[in-house]
Amino acid sequence: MSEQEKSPEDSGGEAPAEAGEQKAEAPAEAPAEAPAAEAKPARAEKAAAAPTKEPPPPGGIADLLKEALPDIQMEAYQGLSSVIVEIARDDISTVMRAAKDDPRLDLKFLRCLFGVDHLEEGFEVIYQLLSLTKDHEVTIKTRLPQADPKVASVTPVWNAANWHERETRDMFGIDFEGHPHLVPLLLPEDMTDHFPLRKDNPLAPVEEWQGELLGEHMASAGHIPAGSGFEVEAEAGGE
Amino acid sequence: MVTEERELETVDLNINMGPQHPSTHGVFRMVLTIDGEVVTDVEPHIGYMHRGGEKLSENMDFRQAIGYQDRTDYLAQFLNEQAYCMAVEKLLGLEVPERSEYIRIILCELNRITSHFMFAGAFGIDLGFFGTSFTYGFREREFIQDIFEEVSGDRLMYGYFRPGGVVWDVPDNFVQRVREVLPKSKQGIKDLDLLLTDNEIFVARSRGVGVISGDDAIDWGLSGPMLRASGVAWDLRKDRSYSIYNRFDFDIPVGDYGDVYDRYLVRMEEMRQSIRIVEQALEQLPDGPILPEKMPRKLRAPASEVYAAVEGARGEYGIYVVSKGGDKPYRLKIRSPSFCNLSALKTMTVGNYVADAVAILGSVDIVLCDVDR
Amino acid sequence: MSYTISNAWLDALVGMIVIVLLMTLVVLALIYLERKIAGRIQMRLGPMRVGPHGTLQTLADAIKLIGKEDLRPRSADRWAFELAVFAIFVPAFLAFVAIPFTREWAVSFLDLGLFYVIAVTSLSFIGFLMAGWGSDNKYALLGGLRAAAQLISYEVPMVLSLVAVAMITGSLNLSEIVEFQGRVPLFVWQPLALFIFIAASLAELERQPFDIPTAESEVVGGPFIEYSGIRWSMFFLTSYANLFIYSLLGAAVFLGGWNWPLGEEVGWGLQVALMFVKTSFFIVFLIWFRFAMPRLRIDQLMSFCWKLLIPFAFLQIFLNGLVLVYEWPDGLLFVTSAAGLALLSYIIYRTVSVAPRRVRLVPANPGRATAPAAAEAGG
Repeated sequence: MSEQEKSPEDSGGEAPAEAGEQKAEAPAEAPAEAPAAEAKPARAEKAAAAPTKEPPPPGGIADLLKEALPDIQMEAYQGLSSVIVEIARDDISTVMRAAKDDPRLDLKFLRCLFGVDHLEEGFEVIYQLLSLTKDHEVTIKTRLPQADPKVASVTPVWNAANWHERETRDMFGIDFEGHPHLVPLLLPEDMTDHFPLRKDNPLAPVEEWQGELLGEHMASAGHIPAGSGFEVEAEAGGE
Repeated sequence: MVTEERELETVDLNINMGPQHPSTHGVFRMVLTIDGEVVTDVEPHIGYMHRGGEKLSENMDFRQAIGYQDRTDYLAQFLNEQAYCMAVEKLLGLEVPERSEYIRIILCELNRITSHFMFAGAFGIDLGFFGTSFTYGFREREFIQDIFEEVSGDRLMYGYFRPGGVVWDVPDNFVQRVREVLPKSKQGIKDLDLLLTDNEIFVARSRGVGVISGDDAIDWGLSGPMLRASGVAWDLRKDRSYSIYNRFDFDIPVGDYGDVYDRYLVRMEEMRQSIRIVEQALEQLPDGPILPEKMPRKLRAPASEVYAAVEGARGEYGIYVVSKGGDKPYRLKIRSPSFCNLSALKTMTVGNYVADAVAILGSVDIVLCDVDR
Repeated sequence: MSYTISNAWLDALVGMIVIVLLMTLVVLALIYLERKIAGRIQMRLGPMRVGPHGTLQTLADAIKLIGKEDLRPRSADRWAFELAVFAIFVPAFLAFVAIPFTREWAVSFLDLGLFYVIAVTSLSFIGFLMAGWGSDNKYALLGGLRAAAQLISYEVPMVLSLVAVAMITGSLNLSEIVEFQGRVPLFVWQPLALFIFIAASLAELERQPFDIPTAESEVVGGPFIEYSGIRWSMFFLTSYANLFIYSLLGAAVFLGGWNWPLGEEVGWGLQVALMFVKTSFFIVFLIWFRFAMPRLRIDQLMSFCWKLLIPFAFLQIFLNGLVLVYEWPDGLLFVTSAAGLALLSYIIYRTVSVAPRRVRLVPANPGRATAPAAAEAGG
């Protein structure tokens, strides 16, 4: 529960706009931490349990998809902002092609395409589709195994996918087969083997990292004011 | 004697409009292949401003992560913050009080006006004005930025919105100040109009240049003024009405030709419509709290996913949050409009002149921090 | 000088020194003037800090530029790179030789004055080509070629419009052209030629709307992109020296110089004042254009020159020829030229003016209830 220990020091390393609010909160939070600490394991358990998935509204996009693609296995449920449909990764090409071309669906606008790293559960690629004429939208997801992150590219279907897939490959290492020009987009051209957004590239908690480095640097320059919380013991070696 | 006819071997010239260039609106590199003065290929290289915002946001809790949203599209900050706050509010089931909704709308629309003033100024420079349009646009921006500074304390990175409302109430003279500034903005729009809109050379440089059809625009994922200039009447304030936009009477400008001139006209008209919205919102601004009463101290989200999008100054700015419980987002994806709009650069530019390449890039109105996050 | 110094060499030396001093001071003043006018057009003040109201700004800039490192790219063609400066700079000085400032003051009252000035100022385009090629930089090359194309093209209407004027005055001697305008200045007789002259001067000076060779927002300085320090300042100065030359030429040829309207019997003070006022008129006009107009694209620029200006310049010559050969009354010079100008204006108007385009407005909330939902706000 390192987060809770750090919260009074939250005010240290933040944007100034936050500082006023957080400082006011920090003293109030200390007494609230004790009950919160007990409540947290209970809440965490509840959160870890799979959320109940509501069925999608009838006659909506999920039914249209099932009509247009009767042979494809899909699991549809109602998410917080749109209907979410999960399909197998081998069906991506067929489903996406049908989504764009089928006149009932007419999902011609690819809003977004990105990946999520779920560690052992694999990667997930999320496609957000929208139809401007039929005024409906859907979020299509597909799981990729962690050892084999490959999926068919949808660039032949929507040109918008071109850059989105390049970025997802940069960040997660997911290989999009059939992409015309899969070279790094946001990362340097030679950075093809290191994938920043994967969860095995952790970011240290910001305060911890900044605080220590800040302490080392400022100590050597002799600038740390007493009582600031950044003092570093003279002989403590940094990590 | 028969002389052989030999073809003159020519090689297309590769010009690098490098990361440092007055016209690339930021750190952006465009490799143009030109044949004489006609562009045959464009390869954009982005990523110079990539700061790993999505990864950083995974490490910040839901209130801290708003600091990063200012720094993506730094010309339309309130609109970014609005998208983020809407996403988190939907995730946590927070209800925003009326006063905060109105304050947010007023500030968002004023921010749209400042962003478009910046566009008009910079666009004039791209076409050759050498500074005149820039100073016209920026003077008007300063009046509105003074209001933003009075409200949030900052000139550029406001950090004023919070999930649930806004961080503190606006100053007492807010309504009066905004009412003072609106006539100046109207006059500023008129001045820029007189300088640019019917200027024959401006028109000759921008009509018929960089045309993209409505279907192509949809296929390339364009949004915002670029999509509307191509004839597609899609605006998130109208078609996916969020916040309290359904209470105001305003119009969406839609162009017909999809060229650079239409994009300019659409943005100028959007400024006027934003002024309309602000005037109506000022009249309706109620009193009341600015944060919900039962505001939790620590924002803990259930394990769920949500997507919220606003009509930003450049297009659809969307935030997708994947949460696995806890107070930090598991994955925060920023759907940035400039990224999607810029991907269509090659289709729009090939076949035009080099001078037009600059005009087209200017009309896409990108912000590099938004492209690269 | 009309009072000749006995030694011709000394005479020439004095002339050179006077010209150099005059040029430098005038150019410094012009740079300051341009910055101030630019500031006012752009709703700001211009230089204000260095010296009273910024008058010493140009001097400070000159000192800074002289102190800068003189860079030369290693792969640049050395002689082309270094001599380009001179190729552009020297013709500007040479042109001053034949321009009369008053009835008695000129370095030399050449009989071929007008021809000489045109010939010499048109030499400078070779400097642009040398700079563009010698810099070994693609932007420089692009800018240099654009400059060469533009300068060569716009020489033609410039020359033709001045030829039309020379037809009427019957002389190429600039002093005689000014003398000719005792009662009526030449812009009354030849408005079309004046228009063509102004357009061609803007192009020769590479100022907006014809500044595509050194387009700041595209090729960032064009042929001069690799130059720094004193070399670059030479280019910059030459641009203002040329501005001065073309304004002087316009004032002398079209506005009547030191002659109209006060005539023959005025002292040199008033003559200088008249020349000053008329030259300033041209200078301010040309500077104003720069900050109020965007730039034309190269193909639009070329078609304007070859499809509009040159045919109309030929038309002007033809009309003048008709009037002079058939000895029609002089008033017809004005009538024909004005008619030509009207026709040119009409054609330009029809070409550039298109139906104003406006966007259509789609209401966002068409079925909205008129009463705002403030009632729901509660508290």
